Amino acid sequence: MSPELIRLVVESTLETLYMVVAAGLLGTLLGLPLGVFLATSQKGELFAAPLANRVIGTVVNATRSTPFIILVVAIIPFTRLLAGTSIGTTAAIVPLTVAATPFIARIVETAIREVDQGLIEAAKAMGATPLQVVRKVLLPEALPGLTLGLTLTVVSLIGHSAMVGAVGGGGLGDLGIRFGYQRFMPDVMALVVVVLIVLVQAVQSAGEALARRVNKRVRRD
Amino acid sequence: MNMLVERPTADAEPVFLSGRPNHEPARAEPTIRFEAVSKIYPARKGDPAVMALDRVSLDVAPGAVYGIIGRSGAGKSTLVRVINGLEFPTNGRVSIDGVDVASLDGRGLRTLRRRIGMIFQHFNLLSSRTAFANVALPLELAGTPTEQIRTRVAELLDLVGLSDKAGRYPAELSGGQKQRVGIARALATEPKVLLSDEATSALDPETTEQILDLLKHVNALTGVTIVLITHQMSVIKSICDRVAVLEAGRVVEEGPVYGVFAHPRSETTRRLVSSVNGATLPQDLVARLRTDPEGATQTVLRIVFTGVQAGEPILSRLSRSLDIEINIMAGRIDEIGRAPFGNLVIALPAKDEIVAAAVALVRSNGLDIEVLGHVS
Repeated sequence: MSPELIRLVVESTLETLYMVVAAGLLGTLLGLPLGVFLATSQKGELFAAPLANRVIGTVVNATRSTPFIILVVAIIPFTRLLAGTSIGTTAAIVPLTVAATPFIARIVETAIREVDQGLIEAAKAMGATPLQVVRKVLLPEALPGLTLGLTLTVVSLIGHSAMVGAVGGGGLGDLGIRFGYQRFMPDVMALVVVVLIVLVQAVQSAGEALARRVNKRVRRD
Repeated sequence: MNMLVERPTADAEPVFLSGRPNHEPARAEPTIRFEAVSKIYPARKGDPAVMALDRVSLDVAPGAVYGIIGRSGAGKSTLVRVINGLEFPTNGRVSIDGVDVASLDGRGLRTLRRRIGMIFQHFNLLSSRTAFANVALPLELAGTPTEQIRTRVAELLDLVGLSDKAGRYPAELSGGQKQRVGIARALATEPKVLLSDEATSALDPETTEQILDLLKHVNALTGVTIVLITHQMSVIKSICDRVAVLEAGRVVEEGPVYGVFAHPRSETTRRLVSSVNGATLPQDLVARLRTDPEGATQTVLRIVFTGVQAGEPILSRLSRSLDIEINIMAGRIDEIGRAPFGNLVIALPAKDEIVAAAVALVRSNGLDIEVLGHVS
């Protein structure tokens, strides 16, 4: 394999990392509050707003059921509005974020719903405001679940990032398609796959280690 | 109105219950007052409406240890939760120091809740926080300065005997230790009232005893009013001044613990009491017991110790004055508020005149006695 190709692989890896990290951060920024709201706004809950809960729940489901490649092209005008262009690595962050946000919201919701109701009651009995319940009880107690959930999100973002080549997003997936498949260079394809595997494995291991560290629920010596 | 629910009048209580002069002024304004409180959970699909509380009226005096006992589903949890506004009554009024809980807005309710500590059956400690940080939580919520939190938490952990476990997470603590952390946490904001929701139900008997001792100690030390719900009569027996018996949302009996124990008036209370006073007879005795005295060699009687006279050496007196041998078949004598309480099942020679004389002698000593049957 020529040094030129190696350079291409390195460049694509960086593009992938850039897209995944940016979309992961933005998605968390948007998905976290959304997930907290979904987990606390049903009837009788902290921020009870059953109607809003149902509406947002439906939107989240709709976004999640749209195939990613269709989402990418469907929101091109929106992407152009935000990024100034609909082509390129930075522009690709928009659809990735749009896909990650509802995914993260559901993951946050699930993690928070796992928190023992008794703890919410105890916090209320101490005179906690609803926001204090979220900040001091729900989020810290859900942290192990949140960490694993966000790991899952990053892994699936790495997968999704391969598809944004369709709008010139670059990244490893795009390299694999253009060189490995279209120009029939199996060595490039193999290298791309190996890098992706290493990437996913690293993210998964790091996430699990972190989740273990923040999990104080099990006794350890 | 429920005739069983009287205003507490200290002078009507037996002498042995007034061992708390510091915190129980004779006719103090009640700390907690229930006035005809009802709570109805509306019907939901498939489930009919539930009346969790049915016109409950009771007063809890300042500094008292007030027990509420009932089987699961009797409405105990609801009763304790309407005190700190975790739930609100459908009808009636709950007031704390004269303030109607339902009249408070969000801020007022939170202020009230800082004055009411609560401990739980499953402890409800945050698994992500150490013992220290768990106790600190209510102070953080109240906006107490960090330096003050540090001293206060150290004090509290010392009070509950867990100074050496400050840095441990709940997962590293035993059930008893967790409940100690729970108690320290509940006391952090120096509450006037401590609510205990089946706090010892998940603990073994020995640990239960230790936790109850701690609660007693805290009550004596700080004068905090304790409202304790439980399904265990032994808990009521060892710590409470007054007790209310709850059955299907209604208070079926209420009064000083000794009075309720000694003279249970409702079926529910009788069943609960029999679990601690040994009123249930051994199986083999029940099998041998006959109502027909014909051919029996011994008559079985039950002496019930229900009052201050129980200190009398009744058995030796019986034996000496009637010149008979007494056989003890079963029994259990306990102490409630320093007065013996319980019953003793004895067998005497099956002769009418002996039995009659024994009954008369026991009664003249102020104890209850009944003939259970005959054995041969």
